[in-house]
Amino acid sequence: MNDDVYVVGSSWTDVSGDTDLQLDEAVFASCSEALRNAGIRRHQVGFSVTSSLDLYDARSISNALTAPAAAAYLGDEVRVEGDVSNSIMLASATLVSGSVDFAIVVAVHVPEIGSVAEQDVRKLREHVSSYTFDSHLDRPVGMTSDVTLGLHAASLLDAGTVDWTEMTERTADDINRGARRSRPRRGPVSTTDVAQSPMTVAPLTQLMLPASSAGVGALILGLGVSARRCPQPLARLSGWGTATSRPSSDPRWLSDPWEAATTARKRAYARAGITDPATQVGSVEMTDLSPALSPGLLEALDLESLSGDRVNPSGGVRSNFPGIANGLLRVIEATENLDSGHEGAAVVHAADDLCGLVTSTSNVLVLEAP
Amino acid sequence: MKDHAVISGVGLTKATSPRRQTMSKYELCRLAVDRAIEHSGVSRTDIDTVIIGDIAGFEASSVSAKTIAPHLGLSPMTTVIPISTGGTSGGHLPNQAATLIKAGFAERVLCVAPNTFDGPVDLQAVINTNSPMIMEQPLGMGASHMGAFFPGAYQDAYGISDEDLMMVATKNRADADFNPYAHVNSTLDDEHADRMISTPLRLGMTCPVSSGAIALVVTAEGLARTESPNPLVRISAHGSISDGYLGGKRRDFSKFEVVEIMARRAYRDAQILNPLDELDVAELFNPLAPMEYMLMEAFGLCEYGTAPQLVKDGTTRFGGTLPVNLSGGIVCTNPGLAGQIAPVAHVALQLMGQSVTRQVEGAKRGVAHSAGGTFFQFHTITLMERVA
Repeated sequence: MNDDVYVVGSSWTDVSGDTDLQLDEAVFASCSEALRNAGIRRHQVGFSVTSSLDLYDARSISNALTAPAAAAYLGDEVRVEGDVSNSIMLASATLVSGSVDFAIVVAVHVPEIGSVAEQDVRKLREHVSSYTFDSHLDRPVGMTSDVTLGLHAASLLDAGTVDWTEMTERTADDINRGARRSRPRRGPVSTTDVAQSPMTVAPLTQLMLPASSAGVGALILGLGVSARRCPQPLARLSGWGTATSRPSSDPRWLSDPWEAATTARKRAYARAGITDPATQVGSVEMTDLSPALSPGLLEALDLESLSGDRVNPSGGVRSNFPGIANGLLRVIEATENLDSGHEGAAVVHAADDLCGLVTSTSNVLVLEAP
Repeated sequence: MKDHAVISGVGLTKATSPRRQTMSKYELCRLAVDRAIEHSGVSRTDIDTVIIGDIAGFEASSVSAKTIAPHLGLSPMTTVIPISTGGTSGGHLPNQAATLIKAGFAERVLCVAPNTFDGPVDLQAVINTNSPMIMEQPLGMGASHMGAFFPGAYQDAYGISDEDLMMVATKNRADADFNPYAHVNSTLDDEHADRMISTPLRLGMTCPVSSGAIALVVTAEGLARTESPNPLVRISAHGSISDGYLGGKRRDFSKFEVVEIMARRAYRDAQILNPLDELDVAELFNPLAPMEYMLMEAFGLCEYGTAPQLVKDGTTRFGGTLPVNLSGGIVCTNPGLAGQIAPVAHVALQLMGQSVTRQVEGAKRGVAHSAGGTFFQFHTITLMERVA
């Protein structure tokens, strides 16, 4: 029996400020496009899994609104709160368990705040992040996702492990690389622009932080020979691994924020049979939430030898970061990287930023040409 | 490696009113987890995945899995998966755990169902925000009104009396007398029980707001054979279903039509042809007592409109052909997530021969159900079977 999991269809919709779509309409549009892309009909989907958050969607049990639009009407469904890479894993498990032949993974990050401006989305993200931290110990001292990133970057600067110039250069490179691709949320910038953008959480400037955005996406995953009968499979998911980082009570979240990625990478590479990443991996799309994290994350993924143009070819999170939908965008970018002439597998690292570097679940996915 | 999934451990805590709860959410979850792990025979350090549910919009925090998981004493880097689907979150936990194990993605999964309703001062007001904000909230409809649609339509369709509706609620409270973990039991006096909430629902037919936590350990069957001291309870089939968002999609409020669809699929997977004869115990999610009738019918235990007769003749009472909700059901104990997973916990214990309520002797197969969302849009089913 062929238990290989394939990405057989995908769609991504950047939500702009002038969209006339309601939340469920946006989900329906994205799912419909992904199904068309996969060449299958809704009734062939046996399992629907959505990543979304009530607090972004401004209603309790928001998946009730979106589930029917996510091909789940009269179907098996579930909703995961966290980066959509978790949902990809659950959908893959459902396929491999033999329950269904096709599953749809839906990611919704359309904050209902009447704006999709980066600053407005970030402001809500920070508010929700505060609400996610422990209410007795962390919230009162102002812990948020961005605060963890600032604390980490400051600790590395203090230790001399990274330097400011390097961070501004890496940021500008990412943003400019993204600006040349199809889904940027930021235009070209210089290192001076990066350095002079507003200081959001010292020592990180606004442009060093992820480009908070809004979007809806869908992936169709298929199993084995059923998937191979689809018109144009996009990638084969050959490896996956997952791990959740340490809580705020354990200082290692700050001293080694890459630990979960390292663990997830080991699990994923073992499944995929990757023993020599330098020769077997062609590109990586990773979730380095600040430029101070990037070198350590590459090391955690065992990909330090990749050339710069193969690290976040899409520009990564500093070009477009749609919150908990980020993992799905990274997978779509990775499937396009597979087509771009880079030989070898495309690795995706996605991690939720609900509490920044604290209790963040890292998922590493290995995609190969179908 | 792919394997069947078995429930190897169950941890319950005593339910009470949130106002009388002396333990924090972390403490309650830790207690339930400690009990489940001890019961399972699994080493805590061998847990590879933890699935924690919540109802984010009803709670005083977002994604509570983030703050609960660190208090469970698990190994660093244990994968945490937060699931939130409203009233079915708890039912999804063992189902997703089973999927991960059957696929070979996990071997020992801890499912944690916290107390969900302890935060708000007025939970009902919060729950009422769940209804569709454009179409139905402006009409003044809250959760109780929506819940009343079903028994009202059921009475109209089949001539069911008010007394019949209260009969099943009385049965539930009497059963809860034998469940030391229940919140409400037969000590609820008639004066309170008869208070009208939303016609035809009376207070005694509606669930309390409870506080408590439940945890399960779901293990690969091959491992459980060597490390679990308990009879093996396999999750033989499971699934869920979503109806449409708006109430109008229900077509007929006298039936849970989508439950019938879901049940057929699961019965097909488990090769169950006649559920009344082939199942030994059932726990059906009944935050409103009359739902028990409607669910019995949707699960194929009897023809539509005939469920009250099964209660009257004792078929679904203790000692009958298929006891339903021997725990007292959700109408007696509803701590949110813990209430949603409770049917699975109680059926699993019955099949292990270790029920905390009254034991159905020789029980081998059972069904557990959860429901939630506006107008009960969502449902889950978990079929379990004792294996040799």
